[in-house]
Amino acid sequence: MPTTATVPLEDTRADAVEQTEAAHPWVTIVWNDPVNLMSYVTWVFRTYFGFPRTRAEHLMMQVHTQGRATVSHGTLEQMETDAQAMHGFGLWATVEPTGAGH
Amino acid sequence: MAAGAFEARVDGGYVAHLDAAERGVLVAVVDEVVELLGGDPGMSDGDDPLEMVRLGASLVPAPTDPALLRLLPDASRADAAVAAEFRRLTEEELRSTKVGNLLRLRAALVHAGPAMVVQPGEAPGLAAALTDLRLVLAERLGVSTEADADELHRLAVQGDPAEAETGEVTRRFLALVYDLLTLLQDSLVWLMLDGLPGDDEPDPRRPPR
Repeated sequence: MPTTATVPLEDTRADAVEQTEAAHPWVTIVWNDPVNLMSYVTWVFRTYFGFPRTRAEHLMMQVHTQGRATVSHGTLEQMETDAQAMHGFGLWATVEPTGAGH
Repeated sequence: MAAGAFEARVDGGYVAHLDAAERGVLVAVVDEVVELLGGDPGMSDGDDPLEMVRLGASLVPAPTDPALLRLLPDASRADAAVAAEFRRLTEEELRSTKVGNLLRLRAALVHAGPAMVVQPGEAPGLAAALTDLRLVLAERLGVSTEADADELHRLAVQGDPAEAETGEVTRRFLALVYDLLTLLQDSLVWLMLDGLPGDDEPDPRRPPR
């Protein structure tokens, strides 16, 4: 997941949030379920997304306690790739436009 | 270490000890889930080239069986068009991936003696297959909350005083199978986590050895 993004020149006056949403218009959400193990969700987040252990565990706990966590940002096509991977692992993921769930 | 849990071998592989009855039950559950996914337990693998031709199919309806829907869930809660397009693009490949993982687990169970040995490279696919088996069993047993899952575990461990009544024996049997799958998966995943680089701090959630 890139932390910097190319922003078109005409967007330079927009605030940081708007720039982020323009470059990463979609997010992937992972949802809690009573079946998936905390160990396994952490392993998926560490190996698929390459998150460091602390970040993977933080997101896993967010799924567990809050019911959902945003795990990636990007284009719709990129988010569909991530959601497909999550479904392959047996986690339930959805894609939605940035900011839709808040 | 409890019977059924995966343990590390000196050669770097993982091993779980399962008796013939346990292996037989797990193969039967694998076959049911393979069938649910539209696969054939007799297939050697999930990568049939003809599957790829069907990727161009038009609309693919969402499954009506809730257990199959849990294996192939909607990718959007709010936007039916996004969910439908996702299903059209990915469902056949996801089915194929899942059937392939399940058939590799099946082969490992069938070819194992009392010791089922798994190489680290095979472990992620087997862990995914164990997840899919648990998702289907949980759906069939009506587990939709953490409390339901705790209750299922209690049933497996303690049984039910009214067990003799119709249905409860089957339910307890499936609860025991679910518990065994959970033990296999959790122990395998902890070994997989041990194998990742940069994991030298002790984890407070790690089960005792």
